[in-house]
Amino acid sequence: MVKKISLLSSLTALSSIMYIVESFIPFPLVFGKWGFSNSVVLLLAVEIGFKEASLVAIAKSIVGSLMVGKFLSPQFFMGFFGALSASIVESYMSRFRKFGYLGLSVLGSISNNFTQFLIASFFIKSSLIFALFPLMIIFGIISASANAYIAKKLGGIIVETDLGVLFTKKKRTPFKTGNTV
Amino acid sequence: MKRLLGKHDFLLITIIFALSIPFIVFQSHDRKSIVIVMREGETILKVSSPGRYDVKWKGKYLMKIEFDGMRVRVVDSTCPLKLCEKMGWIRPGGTIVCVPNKVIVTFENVKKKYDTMTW
Repeated sequence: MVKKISLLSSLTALSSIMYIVESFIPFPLVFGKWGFSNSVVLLLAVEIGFKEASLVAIAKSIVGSLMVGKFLSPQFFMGFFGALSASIVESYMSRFRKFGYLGLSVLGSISNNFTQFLIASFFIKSSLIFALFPLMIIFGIISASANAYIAKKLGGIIVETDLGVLFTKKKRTPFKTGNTV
Repeated sequence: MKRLLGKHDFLLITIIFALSIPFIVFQSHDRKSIVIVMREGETILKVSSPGRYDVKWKGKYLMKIEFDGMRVRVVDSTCPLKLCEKMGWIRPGGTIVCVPNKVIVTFENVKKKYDTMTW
């Protein structure tokens, strides 16, 4: 339990720092962001479970927006509900054992974008913003593949260093040096 | 741990690409253009001749738009991030959205060639 709390809190810290730092990396669309902080949510949703993933999603959007100074602004609500919906979709779809990290990440990014557009259309009381949705999906696939790679790498590092909980309760298998991607 | 990618992932991405590319390619580009500026769903400004216009709402200055007869852009805005200015020129079918000011700049729907749409 202590190990789990420490893992979740360190991942939350990592993800909220990513939330701030990623705004310095340019993105082809002016209103978009890379969303690297969602890779932590993806990792937790795939490997541990819905509860932990949604907890970290909520915590990272609150902590990150508090640090940037956008708490309770429209952007905060867009990020908050977007990350929450992505964690729901990713953890639900990962039960079916059909998709790997990449497919789950793409599904999560689509649900994240859809929820963000929904919240934005609620704020401006018009659905015209959905005209940008197909473009956002295409760029979302690019950033989702980057996220999937980061999540896989991050999981490999966590398993390798035996930082906190292992993902399964089975007997530990020896891992090679170098992470497992 | 789960694997990074498999054949289902490629299938999913291909399907999504195939579904979303037509929407981008076949966005409507109509000739006649009337710019409308909306705030919270109600039209506050309608522009049909070229020039620069101030967008005001209840006496409060929100932004300045420029229209050249075919395209429209936001020249100056009071919002913090100025995303609407960085969007640049848009053509009919495009939209500029400013979330802090709750403003939408878009083109009025001109009459389409077809009168109904079915899925």
